[in-house]
Amino acid sequence: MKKIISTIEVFAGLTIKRMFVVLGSMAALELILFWIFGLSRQVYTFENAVIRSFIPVVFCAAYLAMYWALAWFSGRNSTYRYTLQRLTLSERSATAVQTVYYALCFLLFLLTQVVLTVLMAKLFEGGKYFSEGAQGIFIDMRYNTYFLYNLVPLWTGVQRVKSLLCIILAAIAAAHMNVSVRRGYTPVISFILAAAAAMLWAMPIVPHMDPELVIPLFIFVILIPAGTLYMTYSRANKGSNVEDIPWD
Amino acid sequence: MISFVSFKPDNSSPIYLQILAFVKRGIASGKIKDSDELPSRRALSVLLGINPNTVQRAFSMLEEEGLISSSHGVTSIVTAPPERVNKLKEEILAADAKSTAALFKQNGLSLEQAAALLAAYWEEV
Amino acid sequence: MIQIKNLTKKYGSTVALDRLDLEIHPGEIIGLFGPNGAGKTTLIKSIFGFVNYQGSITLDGEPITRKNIARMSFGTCEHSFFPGINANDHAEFYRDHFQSFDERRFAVLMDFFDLPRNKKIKHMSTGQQNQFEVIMALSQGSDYIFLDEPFAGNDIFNREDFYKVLLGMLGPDETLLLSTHLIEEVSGLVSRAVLLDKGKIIGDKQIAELDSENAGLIDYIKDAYSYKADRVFQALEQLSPEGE
Repeated sequence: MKKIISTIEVFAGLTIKRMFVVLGSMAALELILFWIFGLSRQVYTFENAVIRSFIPVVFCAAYLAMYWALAWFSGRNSTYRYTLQRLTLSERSATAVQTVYYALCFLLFLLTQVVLTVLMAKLFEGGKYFSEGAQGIFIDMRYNTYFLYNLVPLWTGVQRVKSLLCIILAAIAAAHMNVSVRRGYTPVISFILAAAAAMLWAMPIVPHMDPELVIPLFIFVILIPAGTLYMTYSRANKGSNVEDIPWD
Repeated sequence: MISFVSFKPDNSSPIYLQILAFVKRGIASGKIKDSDELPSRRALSVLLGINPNTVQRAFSMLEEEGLISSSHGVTSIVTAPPERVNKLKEEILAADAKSTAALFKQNGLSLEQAAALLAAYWEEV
Repeated sequence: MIQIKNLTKKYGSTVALDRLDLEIHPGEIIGLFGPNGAGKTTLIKSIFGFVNYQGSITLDGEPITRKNIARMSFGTCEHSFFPGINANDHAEFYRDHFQSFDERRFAVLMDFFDLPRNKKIKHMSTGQQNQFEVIMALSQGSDYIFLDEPFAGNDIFNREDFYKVLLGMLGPDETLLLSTHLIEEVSGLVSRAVLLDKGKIIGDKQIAELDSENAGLIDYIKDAYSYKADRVFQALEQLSPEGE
């Protein structure tokens, strides 16, 4: 209903410009670097081109910058929580809405990188005389690097689930960060969660899962996010005697 | 419409009494005339930055003393026919004289000394 | 009516509010006075449930919940607005979340104080931000308006204007509680003075009462706090025992 939409609009208003600054810089930087380093004669494969252009580095930096744009700065003046806590929409619901909004932002982030990768592939293919053609690029993306592998537009089912999971983890981390910073806490857990999301992203999906991997995976993917969710929601609305009525 | 621009309340006495005094002196001096219109309670409250209850109290007292009459509860008009004005002048003069007499007496002046003092400054003012 | 009974708030071992009882009736303009640390802000925050407390606070007999909290609005020198969006965005937000949002009052006040509609609030001057904060509190359409030192940093003409605007705008059923240091300025404006000291109420008088007793508000306050007019003189005396 309109209360949820208007809450999203408020969060969007607080964060959208910065997010677009991050995405814009990421795009500009990647394309420029690729143009300079990726299209030189010594580079034989697309994969190589991407790595030589420091694209994964830019990707990581942009990922971290997303947290800054979405969660850290807008927590600086934390006193707008006095308004959030007076709404008939509870601060908890507002935080839930915020988490969904963050998930959409991270999705946008991923899609931006996908688009950029496709652009770079087009550039590579177009300018390379040693090119192995579109086929070669495809092979690169499918099998050679984890980085590219994760970005291929033709995601498999498993990959979609993994990406979705990463987005959710990142969103929870960002929400927790924002709520904590608003109240003056250092959001240690969200750092861990953000790192977990990144690691999960980087992990290859192999057909047979090593049994030793299951437990750490479980911790990272289920326990920590669940714990963070719980912490976030108890922090939101903390210290309030106002009785929560069910989300209307 | 009666102007309250020159009305400056201070801490000396309750504000409603000061409003009362302002209107009375205005009537006595002729600045405020019979059937002049007073600003509405709300307008005066906003003009002077004074709580409407205080303004109401002043108006009520003015009405009690028969100096104003409120038609339809909104606009108040001064009701001060000449006899009333004279009576008011007398009241105010009496009050002023009383306090001056008290002041002089406090300072140990006799009636003759007080009269001499008044005479000395009579031409100046 | 807002009824506060036995309100106690401790921060660790410090007692911010000490078994405080207070009733706030519709239509009152209450001046909440007290030195720093007396508990004025904590009192207001407790009413809104921003802090945990012991005791009971009810609005027309009901505890304060999301169902009735919209009947109260809040403005503070700490600023509760969203700094990163502009005034129009705020109006839209309030429109969506508070059915009683008073569009006309918002427009009139924004106009009167000449505040820009399209600038992010964080880009306004402190004085303008204070004004905006109060405007939102007044435009919410609430029955009870709580302002906590709303004019920190505004010049005197700003403030004078605002008092007059308040007087002109508040309906007979609207209640205002104003916590401030500027006692002289608001002494004509308020209908009731509540004095706070170290978490307790040490004075609570209707101005009409003081008027009938021919007593002044400032004197009443000085009395209540046992203010010694010569304490500065005494202190200076101690500094220069040889005498000047």
